[in-house]
Amino acid sequence: MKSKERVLAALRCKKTDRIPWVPFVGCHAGALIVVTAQEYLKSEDLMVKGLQAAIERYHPDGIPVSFDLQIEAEAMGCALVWAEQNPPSVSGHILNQGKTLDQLPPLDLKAGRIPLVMNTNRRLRKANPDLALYGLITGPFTLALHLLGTDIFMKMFDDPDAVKRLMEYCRDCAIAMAEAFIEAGSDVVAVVDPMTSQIGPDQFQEFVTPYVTPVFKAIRQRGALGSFFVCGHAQQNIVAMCECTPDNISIDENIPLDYVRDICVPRKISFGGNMQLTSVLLLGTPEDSQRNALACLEVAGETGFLLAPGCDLPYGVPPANLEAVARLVLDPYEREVLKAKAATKTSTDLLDLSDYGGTSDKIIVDIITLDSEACAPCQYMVEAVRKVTPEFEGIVEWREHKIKYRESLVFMTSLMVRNVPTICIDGQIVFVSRIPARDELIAALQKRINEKLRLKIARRSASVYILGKKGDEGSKKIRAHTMKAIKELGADVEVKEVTDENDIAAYGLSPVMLPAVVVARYQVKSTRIIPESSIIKEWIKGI
Amino acid sequence: MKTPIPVLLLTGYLGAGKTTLLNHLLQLPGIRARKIALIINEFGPLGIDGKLVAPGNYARFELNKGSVFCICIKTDFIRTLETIAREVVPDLVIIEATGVADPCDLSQIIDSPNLRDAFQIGANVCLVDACGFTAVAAFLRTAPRQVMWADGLVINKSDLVPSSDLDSLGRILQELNPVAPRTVVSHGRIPEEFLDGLTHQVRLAPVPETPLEGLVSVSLQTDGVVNEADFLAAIASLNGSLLRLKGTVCFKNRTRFVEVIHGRVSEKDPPAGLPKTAFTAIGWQIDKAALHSTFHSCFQYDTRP
Repeated sequence: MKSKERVLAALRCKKTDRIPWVPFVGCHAGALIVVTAQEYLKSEDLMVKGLQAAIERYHPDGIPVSFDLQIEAEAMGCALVWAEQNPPSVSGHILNQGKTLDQLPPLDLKAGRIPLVMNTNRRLRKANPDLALYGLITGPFTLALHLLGTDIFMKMFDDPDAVKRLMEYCRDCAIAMAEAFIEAGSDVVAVVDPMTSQIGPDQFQEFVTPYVTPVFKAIRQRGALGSFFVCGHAQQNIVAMCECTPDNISIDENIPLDYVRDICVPRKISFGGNMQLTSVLLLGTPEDSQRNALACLEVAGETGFLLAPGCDLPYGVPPANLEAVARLVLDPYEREVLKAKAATKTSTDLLDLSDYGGTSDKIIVDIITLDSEACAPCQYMVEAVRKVTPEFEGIVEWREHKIKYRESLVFMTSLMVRNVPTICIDGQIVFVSRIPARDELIAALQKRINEKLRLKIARRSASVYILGKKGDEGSKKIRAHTMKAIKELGADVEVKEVTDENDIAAYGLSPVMLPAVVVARYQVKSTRIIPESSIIKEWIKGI
Repeated sequence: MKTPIPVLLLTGYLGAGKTTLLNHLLQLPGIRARKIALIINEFGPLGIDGKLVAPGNYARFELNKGSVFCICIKTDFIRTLETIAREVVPDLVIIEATGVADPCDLSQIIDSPNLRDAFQIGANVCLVDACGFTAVAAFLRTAPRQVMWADGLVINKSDLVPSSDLDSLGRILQELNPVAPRTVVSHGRIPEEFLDGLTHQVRLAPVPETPLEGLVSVSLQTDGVVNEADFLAAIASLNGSLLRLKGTVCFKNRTRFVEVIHGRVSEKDPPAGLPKTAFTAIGWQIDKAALHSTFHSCFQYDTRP
């Protein structure tokens, strides 16, 4: 499969030979050719050069032509302030500086840097016919914020009609930009609307859905595919985003990937993301980056997913980190080695899952974290557990598993934990990505203690099978002796007589061996969970 | 090991008066006596906040580049704090956070491995605009989140609202954040003792993803008319559950622009060109459907005279 074909197939939720890789290289391409973000974003030649450098080094299946959400606002007259290592920011919101919406002309595609970006798109298209090109446009809500400023939130209450009129204008701008990108050769148009993370689903449906849905329709009508990008804490809006009918949803590390997968897959919408930009790609090592990519791949599944960073790559991301991700994606052997390295270590050193079955007297709390010293929610989760455990006077033991260590990562996988931080009690996932309040944690532990007590009681139950021919005197005597023994011991034992020849044969006994007695003790090993085979193995060893 | 530099975090929606409060803070004797580094991180009219802050003996950093993306704020923020730790070494860092900054992200940045030894949050103070909070909080998710994460709440612009509104706002803030001490001020003039009395709470309890189950907004429209008596009775029946209502209402014989703030009803001539009934109501601790149906039941579908 060629790269473009692979990206388009994945966006359409079709099978691909491997997961496509789409590094969101924006001003980071400037760093690759040693120019500032400002120099890079203002020069067609530098953009082409920087993006070609990124294509050569990161072997992407798709790449954005630009990642600058200020282009449209600038073309409309909003003042920008430039930075050396970031995209520019809007410093003047024209609708707050005397202009009215009626005075704004339709978006002029010849204004500002729009022609520069479109020419970059054309040149990249020509040079890379097999690569998927993403045209990134400013989402209508984010553009409205650029034009009006944060007054928009108050206006949603004060004058909702004015906000809706503004959104209509921004919708038209978005459609015009999308068409320009498609005309210039983009295969995918990404509607990037990060500011929607600031509102809830009700407001989203009222102020965003009616204006973004036509943009995706327009993109499709022109033969391209549409992706809806969001970043930040936007979990609450993923369903509403899907309702806008994009082909794809792309998210950052603030939203768990499995959460988005579970919403997108049944709706036949592909999804992408969500490698960690700061903690891993910017500040981590190549191995951290590979592990993060692998974790995304394992959560996402094999179809309808595109591996990507959550958002615009920071200018200063070490190229070695992205090159390592590219190797992992392109080379199945490298993936297997990474998985195997982790598995070998873990199976010998760490996993003792037999304790979880109910045989141990202790309750084991596993906290899976990024690293409680580096991640605040992880730290709070560990502290929450640490504070509560002494109250159980030694019955509850806890341990932290930092997924930066490979054995912990495998431990996490074997417990089917998909998010950090997570609390597991006796191997069962109980709190995912949220720190339980004290009482809640105590209640969960108490529940497990009660459950174990019930298991212990249940474990006492057993059966005595008396195998013999029907009406056989020997069997009758055995039954009488058994009943006497049970009575004297006060035990909780069931007595069953087995007389059918086939049933007896199933015990491995022939008729000449009768009468026979088989004793069976039942152990309830788990309830209401699906134990992993590694756990069941431990049980079987104990039989 | 060196003692970490305390960080005073100021949050609050744009327009709540953070810059005024900051100027006031910088004049307080206890603050003036210390070596201060100031980080201004505003989304919006760039640099304006920076210019509004009175000049003084402190190092000032503006953090408003590329602020649409959280990632840009994060990387800029980390870099700025590293510079401050290396080059300024102040006694106190004051961060004026953007009105759309998620306080949980800010705390995480300060707790990141390369910064946690150098800095620690002394207190997180959230400024609440007595006039606008209940309207904005229904739409902007970070507004209530900032309240929930705060160690101290400063209710500002108290001179602009009746005391009954302050009581009502106080009840909402109490629900959102029962542990943070509150002070009611105007023009950002907080007493120094208030700041001194604050301690940073490490949040053990989760801050939910959708923070304000209790704060709901509904928009209603109709081409018909609204029964005026029923409409007023609906407002009265909602009592404390109706925080705000605003919009045009077409009654049988007249069309009015109605505004309700914490139960107080006012009305004026409607703006030109808006003949239809269209209003938004913000409720507190009321089911959204119930709020909607309370007003919807006042609609009559006979044609207007």
